[in-house]
Amino acid sequence: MFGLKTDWHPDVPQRSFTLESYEGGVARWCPSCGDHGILSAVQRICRDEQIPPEQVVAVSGIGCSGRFPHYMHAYGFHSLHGRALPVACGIKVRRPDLQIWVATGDGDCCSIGAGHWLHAVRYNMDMTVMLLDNSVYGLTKKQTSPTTPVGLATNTHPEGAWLPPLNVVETVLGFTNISFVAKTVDWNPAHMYQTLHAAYCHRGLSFVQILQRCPTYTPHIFDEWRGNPDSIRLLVHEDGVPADPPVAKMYRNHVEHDPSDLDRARQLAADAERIPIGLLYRNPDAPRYEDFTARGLGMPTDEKLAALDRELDRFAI
Amino acid sequence: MAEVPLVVVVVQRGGPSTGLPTKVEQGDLLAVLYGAPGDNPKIVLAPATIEECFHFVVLARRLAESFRGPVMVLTDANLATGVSPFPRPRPEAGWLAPPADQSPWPEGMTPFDWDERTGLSPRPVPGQRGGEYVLTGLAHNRQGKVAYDSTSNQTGCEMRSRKLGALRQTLVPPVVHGDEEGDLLVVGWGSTLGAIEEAVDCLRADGHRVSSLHLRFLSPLEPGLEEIFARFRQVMTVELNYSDRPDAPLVTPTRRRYAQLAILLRQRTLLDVDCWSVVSGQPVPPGVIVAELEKRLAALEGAPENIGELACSA
Repeated sequence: MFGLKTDWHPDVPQRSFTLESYEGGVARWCPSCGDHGILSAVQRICRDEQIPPEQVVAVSGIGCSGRFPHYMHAYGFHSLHGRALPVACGIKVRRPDLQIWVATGDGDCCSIGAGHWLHAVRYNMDMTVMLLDNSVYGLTKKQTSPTTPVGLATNTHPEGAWLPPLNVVETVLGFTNISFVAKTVDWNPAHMYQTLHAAYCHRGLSFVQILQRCPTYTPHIFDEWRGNPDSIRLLVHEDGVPADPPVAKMYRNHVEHDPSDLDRARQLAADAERIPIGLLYRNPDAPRYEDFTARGLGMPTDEKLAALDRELDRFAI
Repeated sequence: MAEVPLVVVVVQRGGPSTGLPTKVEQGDLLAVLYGAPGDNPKIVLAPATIEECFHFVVLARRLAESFRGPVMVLTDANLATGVSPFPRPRPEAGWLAPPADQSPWPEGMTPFDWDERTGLSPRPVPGQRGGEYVLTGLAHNRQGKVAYDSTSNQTGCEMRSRKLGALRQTLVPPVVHGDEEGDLLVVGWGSTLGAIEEAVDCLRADGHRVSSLHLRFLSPLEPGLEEIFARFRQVMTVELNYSDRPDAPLVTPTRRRYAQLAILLRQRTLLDVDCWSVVSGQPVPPGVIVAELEKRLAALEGAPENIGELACSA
C-alpha cells in the first residue's frame, strides 16, 4: 500500500517517561517532611511534560532543601550555602536548552544567599525556583531563620525569636524585573502541583514560596492556616494558577486577582495573617538575561575565528 | 571536589585586607594554593608578560578541560593595567572550546571513573543521555554518591592529587637566563621578569656569576629545579610580597618568615632558598634589585661551594 514495504516502520525513536524515570533513590528526609511532597510534585511535572531526564538539572544550596538533587534522577548540582541561584544562572547562561529546577530554603535563599536572590530574580533567567520554607534551620537542628515566627524558641533564641519574620513574597515583589511570583502550601498537593506547573510553563524566573512543614522542629507553626482554611486567600483568575474543584471547595475565601496588577499583589502579600496562595504576579515580557548571554551559541568555528580576527585588528598596528 | 573545569584569573593587588587596591603585589600565591578547607589541588599558572597573559588563558582553558578542575591564572596590577606591543596572534581553531559533547554517555561508566595512574576521568555533560549524576561538594564516590566512609574520601583526595602528578610529568624544566651554573641564582615569577633579567644582565656585564630563572607553572612546580639549584652557590627569590628582613629584630634564619615562592621552593627542594621581597606597592626598579644582589654576592665571599653543602651544614 502506498508503495511502502511491509516491514517498513517509522524510524522515530520513541521514549516515554514514567515517575520512576525521575526517581534517584530513597529520599532521606524525615518521615512526613513536606519536602517529600515537593519532590513528588516536581517528578510528576517532569513526567507529565515528558522532559528527558538528561535535560533536567536540579540545583540546590545547603540545608534540608539541598538534598533535593540527590533524589532526582537527572543532572544535579548540590552546591554551597546560599549559592544555588548563581550556580543555576551559570548553567543557564550557556545552556538555555536545559530545564532548571532550583530547590532552596529560607536560610539558604533569604539569609546567606540573599544577595544572590535579589540579582538572580532580576536576571529573570528561565528556571523554576522553589523556596522550601519551613521557617527554621532544620538540617542544623533548629536555629532561627529569617522566616522564624516571633516567639518560636530555637537554639539561637531559646526564649523565642525576637524579630518579625521576613515576608518572603512581599520582599520579592519589591525586586526589579520580576516575572513570576507565587505562593503555595505543601499540605495541599493539588494546589502545589498546579502552582509549580504554572511556574514550569512560565518563561523566565518563576519564584514559588512553598510553606513546608518540618515535622521535627516546626510541626505546628502552620496549624492556624491548616486548621482554618478560611484564613487563607485563594487567588483566582483566568491568568492565574488554575484551582481544581476540590481546592476551590476547601479554600472558600476566593480573591479574584489579576496577576498583572503589581500594586494589588503587594497589598495581598503584605497581609501576614490572611496569607494568599496562588499567582501573585506575572509579567511574561520581562527581559531574560540568557537571551543576551546565549548569543553566538552554535556559531561555526570559522565565523568565531573571523570575529576574533576582527577584534585583534582593532589593536594591531 | 566537583571536578568542573574552571578558569579563574586572579589579578593580585596590594594586601593585606583592602590594602593597596590599585597597587601591585604578588601576595596571593599561598592563598590561591591553600586558602580553602581540606586538600584541593589545583593548577596555578603565572604569566610573566602581557603577551603571555593572552596565550595563557587559552592554555588554562585547555588544562581545565583536560584535567577537569580549576586552573588559576595569577596576574597582578602591573600586567593587568600595563601596555606592551607583541606579535599579533593568529586565531586558531584550537583556541576555542569544543562544542559540548551531547552524545550518549557510555553505559556502565561512572561519572568519576578515575584512572588509577593519573586520576583523570571523563566528565558527563548535562544533556548527555545516561550520564545523569549529581555534583556535590560533599565527599563522594566514583558514582558521585555522597559517601562519608573513610575509604571514599581518601580515594577521592588521592585521585584529585594524582592529576597534578600527571600534569607534572608533561612539563619540561625551565630555561636559565644566563649561565647554567654560578654564584647566585635569582628565581622569580609573574610581572617581575623584565626587572630581574635586566638586573642580572647588568651584574653579569660587571663580571658577576649571576643567573635567573622565571617560573610559569607554580602548581605543579616545573621539574628539574633541584638539579638547576644545585649548580649555584646560593639561590634566592625576588618577589613582591612580604617577608621578614634577615636582620630584623627577633628574626633568625630558622625563625624567619619567607616570601611566598621561597616557602614553596624550600619545601619542594629542601634547600636553603633565600629571598628578598618588598610590599611597597610599586614595581621594583632593576637598580634596586642590583643593589640587593650585590649585597648577597658580597656575603657569598668565603661561603660554601654550592647551596647543597650549605643546606647540609645548616
